[in-house]
Amino acid sequence: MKPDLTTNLCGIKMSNPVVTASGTSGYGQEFSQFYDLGVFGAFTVKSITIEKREGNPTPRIAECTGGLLNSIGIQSQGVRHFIQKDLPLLRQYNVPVIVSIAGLSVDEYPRVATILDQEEGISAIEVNISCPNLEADGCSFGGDPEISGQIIGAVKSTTSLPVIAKLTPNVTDITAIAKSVETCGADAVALINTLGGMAIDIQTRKPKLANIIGGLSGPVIKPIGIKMVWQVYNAVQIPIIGIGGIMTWEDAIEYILAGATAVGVGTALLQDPWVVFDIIEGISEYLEKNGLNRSDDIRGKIKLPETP
Amino acid sequence: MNKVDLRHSAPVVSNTRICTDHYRLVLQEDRLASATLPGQFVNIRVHNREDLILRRPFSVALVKPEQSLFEIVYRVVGKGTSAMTDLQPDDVVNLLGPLGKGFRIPKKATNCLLLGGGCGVAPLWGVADKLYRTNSKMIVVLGFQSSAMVFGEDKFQAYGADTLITTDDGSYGLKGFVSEHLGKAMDRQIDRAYVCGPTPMIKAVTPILKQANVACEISLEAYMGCGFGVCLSCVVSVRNGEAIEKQRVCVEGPVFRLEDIVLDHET
Ligand SMILES: Cc1cc2nc3c(=O)[nH]c(=O)nc-3n(C[C@H](O)[C@H](O)[C@H](O)COP(=O)(O)OP(=O)(O)OC[C@H]3O[C@@H](n4cnc5c(N)ncnc54)[C@H](O)[C@@H]3O)c2cc1C
Ligand SMILES: Cc1cc2nc3c(=O)[nH]c(=O)nc-3n(C[C@H](O)[C@H](O)[C@H](O)COP(=O)(O)O)c2cc1C
Ligand code: FES
Repeated sequence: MKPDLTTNLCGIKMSNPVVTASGTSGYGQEFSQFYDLGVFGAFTVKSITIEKREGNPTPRIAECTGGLLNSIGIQSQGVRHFIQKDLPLLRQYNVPVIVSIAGLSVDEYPRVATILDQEEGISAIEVNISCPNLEADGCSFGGDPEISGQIIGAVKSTTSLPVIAKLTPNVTDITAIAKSVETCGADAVALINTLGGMAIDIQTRKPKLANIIGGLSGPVIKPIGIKMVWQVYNAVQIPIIGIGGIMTWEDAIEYILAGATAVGVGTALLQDPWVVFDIIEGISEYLEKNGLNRSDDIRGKIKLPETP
Repeated sequence: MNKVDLRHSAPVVSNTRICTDHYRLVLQEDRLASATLPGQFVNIRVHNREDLILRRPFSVALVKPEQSLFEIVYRVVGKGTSAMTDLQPDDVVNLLGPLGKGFRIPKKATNCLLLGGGCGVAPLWGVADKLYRTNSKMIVVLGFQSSAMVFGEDKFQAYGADTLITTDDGSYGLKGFVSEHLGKAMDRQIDRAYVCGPTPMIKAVTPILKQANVACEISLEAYMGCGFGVCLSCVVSVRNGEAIEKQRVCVEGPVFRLEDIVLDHET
């Protein structure tokens, strides 16, 4: 019997556990030319801001061994443009839409969420708290448990939609952040966002990114993502979207074993948008071979060494 | 809505060195050979290597639809292009394409100027091939670093084009940059110009072409993450009416109209 891949993530009914990671599939327009967006368990759009933003200067991307550095810098047309131009297309597909939001100050987040709350066809709001706090020291909001909680609480109070907190790995203790956002009402957490990184061209002695520093993604970050998902799984009750370096179905299974309810695919979609089919198929075959019916059956089920 | 499948597995027909550091890779793929326009590009996944996360973009140089063939010319500059030199006949290349918007080719005979530098010369083969079929007159000006890097002259001559070569060190053809010798070509009647080459060359020829007031299209390069529009890595500033906006080299380009391109110092 074919395993049942349907997944319920804090009330979002998904046909399978595989979702897009924000920023690696735009707003659906391009992928919808390739295939039916309904293949995804959920479609997460690139983070949107209250007003239009230009993003960072170029080059915005640089490859490093087994990974990718980016400093796109949230180039966004603004939330109203998203509602008028992008959301109608996404509504045509039978896929839950997760809208990722970003802000430059704490109060921008609830302002975007209030506007989105009025709209049909949105299944959840994902709060990208990895952005730099330009009002304070420029460090990300997501590095501080209290501010992280504050933002989630503020967004929660504006909307009845499920709220997902997208966590940054650039912290000393990820569980402190996860617990704080859970206490403040987050319905799920998504992790990890990119890791701070930098690369230099030794011939020109210039940084490879115009922004000098950027965020690292891709297969090199997977062990960090797995560790953090496992830690958070053991620290909170809310479900987890595991993200970071998922290129194959094996990587997805590894995240589910570490405790993820759903898995987010990012960099792999830049390399090959069609990889999602292989990942879903691979998860299904793995479950079938192991005589399991649902991915829930293996969630967090790693065999720990016995303590004497 | 009809869905597009950009994925291709194209067998290698040949992969030969054509001059110092430059290779010509001929691949067989029917859909690409018949659907690709001059100026469009393909995005190659090199040997499916796990350490090379990004695909490498290359302009399609020439298509031969009758034989299901298309070719690219690449310059060895780093890890990916070094690895590509190992490709042997019958190896299969994983690629996405055709990507981006190509050059606009007029239907009627036109007086055209083709300006190329370095490996930017190759995509102009495809332009020349199309123009030849419209009985257009072609003047071709190509710039290279030195005689060891010169390639493609015979291709343009075979299409009946007037071909002028410059090298930076004067070891072949005229000494100096393309921009220094453009004046000679501009004395003639020119209605359209096609430009493809490194950014410094584009910057140098832009004022001359603007002054001459010919319809001109330029192919730009950018560091790319995806090649199909989702990551916003490849943006450049482009004029849209009064406004200046960010457009993607991989979707709205790589070919832009000269008057729309905003160079760094203008922003
Ligand atoms: C639309 C377009 C068309 C192109 N057409 C051609 C062509 O016909 N022939 C040719 O030889 N080259 C072409 N290039 C440049 C070519 O893509 C790069 O030289 C190649 O990606 C270098 O790869 P590498 O692994 O050898 O270099 P590495 O330096 O090891 O590459 C590391 C990363 O930098 C990127 N990169 C390095 N140099 C460039 C560059 N100049 N432009 C964009 N990305 C770069 C690579 O794609 C890769 O992501 C084109 C680029 C674009 C955007
Ligand atoms: C080009 C690019 C753009 C991204 N943009 C966003 C974004 O707008 N919002 C966000 O929360 N995460 C963004 N991310 C992070 C991804 O969603 C994901 O968390 C991260 O890349 C790790 O997953 P991966 O290794 O599968 O790519 C971006 C990543 C990349 C590579
Ligand atoms: S390369 Fe990704 S948008 Fe152009």
